[in-house]
Amino acid sequence: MFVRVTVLLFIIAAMAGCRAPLAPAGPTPTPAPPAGSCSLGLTDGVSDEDAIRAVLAAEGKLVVAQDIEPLMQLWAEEGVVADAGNTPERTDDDQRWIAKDAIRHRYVRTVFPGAPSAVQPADLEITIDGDAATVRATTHIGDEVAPAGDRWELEKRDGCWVIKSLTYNLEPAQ
Amino acid sequence: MSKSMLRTVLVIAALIIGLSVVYAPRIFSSTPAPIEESAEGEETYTYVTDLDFWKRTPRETTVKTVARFDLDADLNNVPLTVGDWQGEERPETNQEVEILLNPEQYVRRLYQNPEGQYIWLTMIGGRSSRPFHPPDICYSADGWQYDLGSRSVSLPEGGELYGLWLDADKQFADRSDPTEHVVYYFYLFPDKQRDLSDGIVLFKLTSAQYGSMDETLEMQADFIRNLFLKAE
Repeated sequence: MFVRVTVLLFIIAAMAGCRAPLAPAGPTPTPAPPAGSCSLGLTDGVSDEDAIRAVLAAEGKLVVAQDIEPLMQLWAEEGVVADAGNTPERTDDDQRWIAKDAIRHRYVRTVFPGAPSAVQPADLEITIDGDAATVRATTHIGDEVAPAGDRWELEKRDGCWVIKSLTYNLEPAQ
Repeated sequence: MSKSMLRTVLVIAALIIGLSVVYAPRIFSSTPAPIEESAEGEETYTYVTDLDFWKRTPRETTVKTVARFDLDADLNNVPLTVGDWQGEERPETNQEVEILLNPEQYVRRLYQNPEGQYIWLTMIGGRSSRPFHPPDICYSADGWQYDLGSRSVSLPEGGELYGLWLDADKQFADRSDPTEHVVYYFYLFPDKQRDLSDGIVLFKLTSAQYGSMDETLEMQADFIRNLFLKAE
């Protein structure tokens, strides 16, 4: 009798633990994490151009991994993403995600659900002017290729290159 | 009592204690209760708000409210008089909304202030992700062009509540000027566990643009400050 009851109770107890674990509590105040290229563990003395390439490569990898926290570390607080809508000569019809909360929202609710399997900016044309850089890129998202369709703007702050803006769909409509 | 019986009783007691430790926090944390009275003697309630319901964001905050925003209550009980704003029920008549979203609760109201400005309040409640299409996705699918950003509202008893705003416009064929919507929204959860089955409420304000975008969002913030007292 005792054995039967005990076995039954242990089965019930084991099943009681089957519910998904509680979600972790919200973030607690912590020192600001390293930003931009400084969050990537690059070696000391890396050139500006290599640091910029590393930031854009990391952006692509983190999008594929859907790893939002390190992805957002690459961005400046006031960053902007704009969809140029294939009308590069006009900006009044751009769709914009302004500042980090909106950029995060775009990644999580628009980009990640598409489950991109590979996002790599290619054919980078990097122009550096002091602490500011502009990068024209061709982006490959899976089989989709946007030739020279992206423009990234980055800024060097406290020795770290952070993304200030991404404008995509810059290639004119065919 | 036999030894066998005693052992059985001890095992049962140990299991009851263990299960209580596991489940009590969930049971007691999922029921929002009045935590105190406001300066005006109103009952107040606590909820968790965030910009998204799917993934937690750094803008998650705990707020004190003067009305209940959970699915164990009737969202129709949210006051029709909100500060200087006077509301009237405007139930959703589009059957597609009901079919598409299948919400547990859906409240839609039109409020007006003494200056003649209007705000639509939409509250959608559900216990699954189905009713909660992000408003920007819906606007985009319907051919609106928009900018999206976030903004905090300073609450009367302290703290900041964050929401996402949408500045959307669309040119309709039968109108000479584009139609513009300014939307501000956030999600409410009964507690920090944010369990879908406990229910989520989308709180969304929509208005025309009155003056600048800043002035419009400030007008909407005035509405919010009459329902949400404190954030921490």
